[in-house]
Amino acid sequence: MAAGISDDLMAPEVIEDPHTYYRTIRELDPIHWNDRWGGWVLTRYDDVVQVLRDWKRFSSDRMGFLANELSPEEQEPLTPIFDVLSRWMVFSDPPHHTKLRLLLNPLFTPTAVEYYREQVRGIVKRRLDEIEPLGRMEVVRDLAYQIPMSVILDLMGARELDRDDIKVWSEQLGAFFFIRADEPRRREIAVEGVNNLVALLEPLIEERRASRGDDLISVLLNAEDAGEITHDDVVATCVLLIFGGHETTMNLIANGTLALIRNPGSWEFLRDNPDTMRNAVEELLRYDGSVKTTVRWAKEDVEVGGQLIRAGERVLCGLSAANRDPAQFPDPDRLELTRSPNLHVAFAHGIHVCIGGPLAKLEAREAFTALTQRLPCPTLETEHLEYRPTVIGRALMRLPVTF
Amino acid sequence: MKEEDQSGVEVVIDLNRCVGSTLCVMVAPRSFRLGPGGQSVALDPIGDEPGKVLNAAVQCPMGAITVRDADSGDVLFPREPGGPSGVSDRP
Repeated sequence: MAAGISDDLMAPEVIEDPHTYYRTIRELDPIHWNDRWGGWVLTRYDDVVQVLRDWKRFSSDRMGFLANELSPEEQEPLTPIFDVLSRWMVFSDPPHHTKLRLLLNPLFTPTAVEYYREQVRGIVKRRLDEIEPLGRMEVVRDLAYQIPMSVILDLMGARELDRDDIKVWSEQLGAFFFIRADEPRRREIAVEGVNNLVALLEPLIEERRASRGDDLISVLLNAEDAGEITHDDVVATCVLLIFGGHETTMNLIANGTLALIRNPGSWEFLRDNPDTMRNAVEELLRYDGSVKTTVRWAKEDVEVGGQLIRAGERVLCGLSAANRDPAQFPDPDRLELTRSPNLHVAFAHGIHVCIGGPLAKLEAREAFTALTQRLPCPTLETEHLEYRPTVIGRALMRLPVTF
Repeated sequence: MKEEDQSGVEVVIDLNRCVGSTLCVMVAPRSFRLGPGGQSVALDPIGDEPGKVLNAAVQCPMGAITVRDADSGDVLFPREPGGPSGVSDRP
């Protein structure tokens, strides 16, 4: 252990409290070589932003680099994953990334997602109508999960799909690169998840091919017809949006609810000052966002923070860590709902900045507005809360509360 | 002295919101470029027609771009203060 830093990113105390862990690293060794994970860990805001901006020298082509690390025998059973994930814009560099991003961005702008406000409001209202008389809820299952799943399926014109299946298969897929170390068969499980998601989506895509609308699948199919993207791109992008479209937003709502509960007075403040909700959501994103880290691969030697990072080495960008950097955010470990400016990196930064950000924020605003207007500040049923063991996600397993 | 602006619109970029998505540069390349700090910079003069400049403002995921009519000063986008942009204009 160099300089008192544990390199076990999956250690229980790190999973439970990543903020303290990453603060220690930021203070002791801000460009830290993690021998166990096999890469550089960045925890300062300026360094993280520098890497995320520099897409030319820090690649997102995850599958390309993974292919270099695995033998042909190891790669063969993973072919379904490679085929799908390598087409994801999140794991692509320009020009492939640019093509897909420009195609889909119009559906996710702040202006475009306003279209979903009434629907989101309705979903939240119906959920709270059922929850309120009970005097208790499990926030993840009863509220946080329901909202983004309904919205992304509607956006895709896929309302009839079975969401329990989707949840299970998404989790299986997530096991692959959310680095869930507690599952030894994660690669086979992930292949099963991908295959099932593709099998689920292909009939829907073919149905949409025959009758187009203005939904997301139709947009993709129109581009396929024009020869701009391939059929595999269409399928892969649908999988990405379902996968990326629900877990992260669910976690934002759950993590944010917990943050409000644990910071007395903040619930009542939002209830009495609903106009501050936009700022408050940005602060909840900064304080305990859904994605702790993202990874890049150096394509050439680059100096970051005085440290030389060599071509081929991988870099763990600490998004949560950067969001708690005192050099960027005064009193960073304090939840300050009116904090402004608040240029956090919860949605990352640069060309890959999360396309779902405006939609996630709209859903979160509606959820927290309804929660604080309708319910008193809840009480935790237990102080013992568990997070999923993953390096990338910040995901509460359950959040049982009474009110 | 500013060159004669052919576009009829003026642009302001909020550097407390810009996350360097470069979408503005991609949809209106004669009006925006990426500055050395990785954030958007409006070109002088604005080189695209107003429709493209407005589209760049719409595409921005952070609502960081304000577009005004160059003559009247009327705000063309966003359409209401702190409207669809996602973050309060004022603390």
